Amino acid sequence: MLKMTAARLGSAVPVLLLISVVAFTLLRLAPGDPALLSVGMEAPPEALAKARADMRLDDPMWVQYFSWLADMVRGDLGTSYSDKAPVTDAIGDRLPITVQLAVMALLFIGIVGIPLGVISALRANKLTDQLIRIASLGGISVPNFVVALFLVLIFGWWFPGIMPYQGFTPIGEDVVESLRSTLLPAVALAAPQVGLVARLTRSSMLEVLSQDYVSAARAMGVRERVIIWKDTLRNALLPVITVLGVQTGFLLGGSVVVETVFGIPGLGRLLVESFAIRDYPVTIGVMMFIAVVFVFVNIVVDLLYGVINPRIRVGYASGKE
Amino acid sequence: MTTLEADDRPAPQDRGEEVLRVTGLRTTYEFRGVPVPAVQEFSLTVRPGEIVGLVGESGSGKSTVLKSILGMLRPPAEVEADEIVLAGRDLRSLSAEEARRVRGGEMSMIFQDPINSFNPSWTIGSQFRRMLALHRPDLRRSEYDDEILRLLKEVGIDGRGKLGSYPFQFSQGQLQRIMIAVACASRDLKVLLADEPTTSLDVTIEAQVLELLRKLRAQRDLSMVLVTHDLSVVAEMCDRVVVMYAGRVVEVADVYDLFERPQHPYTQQLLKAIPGFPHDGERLYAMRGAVPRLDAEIQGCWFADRCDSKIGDICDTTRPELYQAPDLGTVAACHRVDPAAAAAKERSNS
Repeated sequence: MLKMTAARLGSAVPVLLLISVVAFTLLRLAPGDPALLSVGMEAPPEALAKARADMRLDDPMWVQYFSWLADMVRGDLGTSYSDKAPVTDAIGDRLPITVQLAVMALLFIGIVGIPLGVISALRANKLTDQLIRIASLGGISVPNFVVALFLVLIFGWWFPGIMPYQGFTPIGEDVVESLRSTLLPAVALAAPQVGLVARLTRSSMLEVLSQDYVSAARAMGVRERVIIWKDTLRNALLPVITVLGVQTGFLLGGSVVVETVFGIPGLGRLLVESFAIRDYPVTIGVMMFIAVVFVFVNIVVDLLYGVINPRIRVGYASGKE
Repeated sequence: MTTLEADDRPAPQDRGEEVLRVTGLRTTYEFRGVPVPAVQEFSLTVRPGEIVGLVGESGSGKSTVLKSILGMLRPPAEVEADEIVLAGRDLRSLSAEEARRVRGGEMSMIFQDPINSFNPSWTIGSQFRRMLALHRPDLRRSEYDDEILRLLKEVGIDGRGKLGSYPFQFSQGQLQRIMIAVACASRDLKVLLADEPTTSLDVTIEAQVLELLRKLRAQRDLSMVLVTHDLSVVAEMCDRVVVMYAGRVVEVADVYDLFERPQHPYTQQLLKAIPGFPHDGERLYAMRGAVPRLDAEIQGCWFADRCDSKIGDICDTTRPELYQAPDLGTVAACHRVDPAAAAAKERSNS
């Protein structure tokens, strides 16, 4: 297990390096000049030149990249052009909000999606199953910004006052109010994923239910309830966990659109705001942070897979894969 | 119906009583919303200590019969029967909970593919322990592992230090032995249903597993229903044979009679299709045609299309019943065996 962990972590390094090169290059290639934006259009040329020099934009791009990379490896993401605060602080401020949103959305996906899939599989081709499948397909097909806008319409216009639909209450201020303020955004984020997870759980359950070892358990006289929840579900959840893992990566990266619609000041918003003013250090900092989270969540999922599936864990230890 | 309690059955002459009797079994699957009969008018009796073979081509309903008898099928599959009597109790009259206790308790099943018969993410020990927890109330939890080792030893496996291993760490042959040990863990076991238990094993391992099954039969007076499509396994193992075709019984015979004097043309053609060894260079016999679709509407004999020895129109117009063959214990569903039809044919020829 240790060896497996080390190997997976090692493989993350080249991936992250590649991402950093691509992200850095693309960002610099994007039109717009942060120096110009910071001093203003009417500023004299010498002020512009000074701002450029301060931002070290006159260096060749590869010099900029390596000095940034060297700083980043030491954990220093630089300082924001706009408010001169360290980028790590900006991320640190916004991260808890995004995490709160992501955890809530994940809970929705798991608590609603998996049972729906199980019910659907157990009632395969019956009316319940058909309804769940149609609803899932609907959920998958509707983009989450549409769901978000509809939720704002429902709770902001038709039935105002039931749920907060704009802004965010920090969890330190009022726990309940804070959770309420991220509820609708979490639902909007989760909606398409619930459908996906329900469908995936259904097909995976059906596949496992047709396996010989389920028949064998039945032939042993194991209770049907135990067969479904213990024998079947655990194996059926393997592919679902992979998908949930990837989703966790996305969710922790913050959702630009949903955060914008609901006015939640999370990482996604930070990314958009910083890019709008070409605040390079913040933008690239957030991008790299999201990339790191994404890669590590996937490593964790890989390792979790090993915990659930002995063939991977034991097989790795004994040298066969 | 005679009750057959373990205590009042000591007299050896009473051993003719059957331990399992199934009559009028009909199992229907649903295929794209349409019910398709997979097994019809099926009957079977098994006497104590007897091994009954169930043979037929793939798709003839052999496995379905076993699953139906054991009550393993779930809707939309439907099982009807006139009776399914195990040791004097009709299983259809039992509650779901009682029926569940019969499964693995008085009647167990082993499967074709041992590696898939075990849950891949559980250790062998934990899967074995759950069997004991279900069917061995006489044991305390602390005694489970000793009992498992003892049961494994009976099937020729030294289980010491291996209970924490996972199924994929064993060979197919070992797994089938372990499966047999699991299936036979209950003390009340009367009938073992074996669904092609050696099909996925190579021939040397196959011989060992068959030997093991024979040994268990002798030691524990087990009855078995052995599903196979391998006639050499039948010859080696079985006392009596039920031949199935397209979900129906076509012949029931003692194993000796089956090979020496097969009555149904299907059985005859099956036997003819066994390649000789050493092969003498002749073309192998292959039955023409294929098994009819299970949802086909057929007026006469289901085998008529492929039969080499039809006796006339009657084969296409009238469904043959199971007729008693003269001078034999065999019954066969063929008009040639029916004395009345044979006589009619005699008249039309002369």
